[in-house]
Amino acid sequence: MDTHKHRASDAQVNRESARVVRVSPLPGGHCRVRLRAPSIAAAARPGQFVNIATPLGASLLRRPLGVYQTYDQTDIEVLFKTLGKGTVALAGVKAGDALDVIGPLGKGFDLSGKLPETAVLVAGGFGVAPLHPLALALRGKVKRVYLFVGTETELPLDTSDSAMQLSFVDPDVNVTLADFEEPGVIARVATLSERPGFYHGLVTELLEELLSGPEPVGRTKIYACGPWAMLKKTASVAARHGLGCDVLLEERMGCGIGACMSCVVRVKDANGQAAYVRACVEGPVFDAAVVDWEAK
Amino acid sequence: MSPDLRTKIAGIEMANPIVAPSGTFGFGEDFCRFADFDNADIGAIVLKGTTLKPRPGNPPPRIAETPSGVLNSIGLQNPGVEAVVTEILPRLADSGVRTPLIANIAGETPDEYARLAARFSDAPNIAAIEVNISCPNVRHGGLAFGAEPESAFEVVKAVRSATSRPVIAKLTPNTARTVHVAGACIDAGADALSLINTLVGMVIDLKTALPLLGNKTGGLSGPAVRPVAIAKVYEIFDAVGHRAPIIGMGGISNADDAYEFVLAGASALGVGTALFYNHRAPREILSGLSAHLKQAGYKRLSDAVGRAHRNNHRQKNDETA
Repeated sequence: MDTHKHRASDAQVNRESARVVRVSPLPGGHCRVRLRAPSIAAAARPGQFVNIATPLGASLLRRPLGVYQTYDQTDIEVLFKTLGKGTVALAGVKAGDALDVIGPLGKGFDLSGKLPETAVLVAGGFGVAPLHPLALALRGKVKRVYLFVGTETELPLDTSDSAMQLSFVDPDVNVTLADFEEPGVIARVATLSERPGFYHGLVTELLEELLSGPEPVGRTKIYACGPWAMLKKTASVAARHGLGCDVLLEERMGCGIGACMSCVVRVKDANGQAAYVRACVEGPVFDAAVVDWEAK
Repeated sequence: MSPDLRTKIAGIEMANPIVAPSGTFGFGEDFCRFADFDNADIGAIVLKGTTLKPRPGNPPPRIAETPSGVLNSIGLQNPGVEAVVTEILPRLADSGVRTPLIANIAGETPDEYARLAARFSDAPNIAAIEVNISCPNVRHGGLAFGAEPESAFEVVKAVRSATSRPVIAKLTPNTARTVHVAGACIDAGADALSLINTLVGMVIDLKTALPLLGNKTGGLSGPAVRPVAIAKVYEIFDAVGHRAPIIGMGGISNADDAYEFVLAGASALGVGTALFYNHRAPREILSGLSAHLKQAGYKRLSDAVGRAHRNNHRQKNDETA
């Protein structure tokens, strides 16, 4: 990894005054907001994010949010959890409102080159959001896509249409766990509380089970997003099985375009030297093997 | 006719008074990713603080948002002066950046500052050297030099003897002796002053019950610090404004803020934190500033600089009467 060049990304960033098309409240304080942002929707790749100014100056800085879905190269949708003033204000927008959005940002998942036969997507909570477009991009291109979601609280997904029943959610909210399953994604959910139909335990145990189990997986690659501890565990499982693993890291961010050096991740460069690299430019997707997992 | 917004700082002819402050603008390349942003929107670019050796910077988290402010502790992460002079500056020259570039240097000893200044003087596209004696996020150097007039003098003097380029001293608000430090920098040969650098601050994470930033403390910027910055610019303009021009900064996000700094005594205006959320801020500020000057009847920006001081003489007479 080129850690000392301080090169700016040459990827163009667009700014849009994006009309809110739909706001969908979801269980557990999650929310999905669909925005008309053609210049961003047309360019966004799985794993990239947008940086959104919060309404009425609720926060000074923009909020970086992963793109959950794009529609017909005209709309993007973000899925997030309301955690502070900024995200609460974002969840409070109404259809027809305008949001100031810049993007697409970051490198996203690298889907060039030879794809694996099996892709295992491992998500912690709303870390499922940026994995959704990846699942859609991989379907049909790889033999099998698994999606494992771990959650301690309510899922940011409607599972009502899924093979697994959970709670009833607004039927207008039409992206569900079944949406992952429909394109041939095998979805499984792990919870720490016992719930019928769900695996009782950690999501990384589902991963272990698959990799050690009888199901044929062939050449496998892991893609993960979620809390640090979960990603660290996932990285160690991947390393133990000798598998490639890309992790999407969500860091506290300033400008989102590479100028301020706030959102850094500690990595080991090609010479084994530790270095801090920007999540917004060199990431947010990193090879789990270069991330210094002891840094947090 | 629109008022003349050109300004001159330390011999640098600037097309407009907007300065991209060090640390907010990388090495001048990142914001060009926006199709509607041009470095020509900026009057001068101050490059990321540069040290002799590459510097990894502070452990994350490096940023926290506070009420109307941003607390950061980057810790001068930079690739070192050799990479800047041999790789980045030629790249900027090749890409046709015509905006004056100002190097920002940070050392741990006066001699290091001098060596940095000398090395940057080899680069044809460095218009001036800004001496960072105010970074709150490094253990050695930075703020330690800028808090006292004696040490500030020593550093600026070392830089002055090492370069023929104009020298700008960047001052900290984290001292009661700002005026003395400013005077000492000018005595040592500084051609202009930049102020303010960030204010030392801390946020404690209630979940972990520990300081949130990896470096524990950080530097506060953004609208929250603006009144502090205005007071410092006003105070220093009053004391030494006749000896060196001031690049005023601290929470400027719109034309009203910018005009306030001009009235307090700033001849140029740093716009930093605002760029993080609005890359169009420079253009918006220039058009609004022009309207302010026009409305007040000023033909040139320089006519308005320090106008908030015009009643000082009368007030002083009143007090002694």
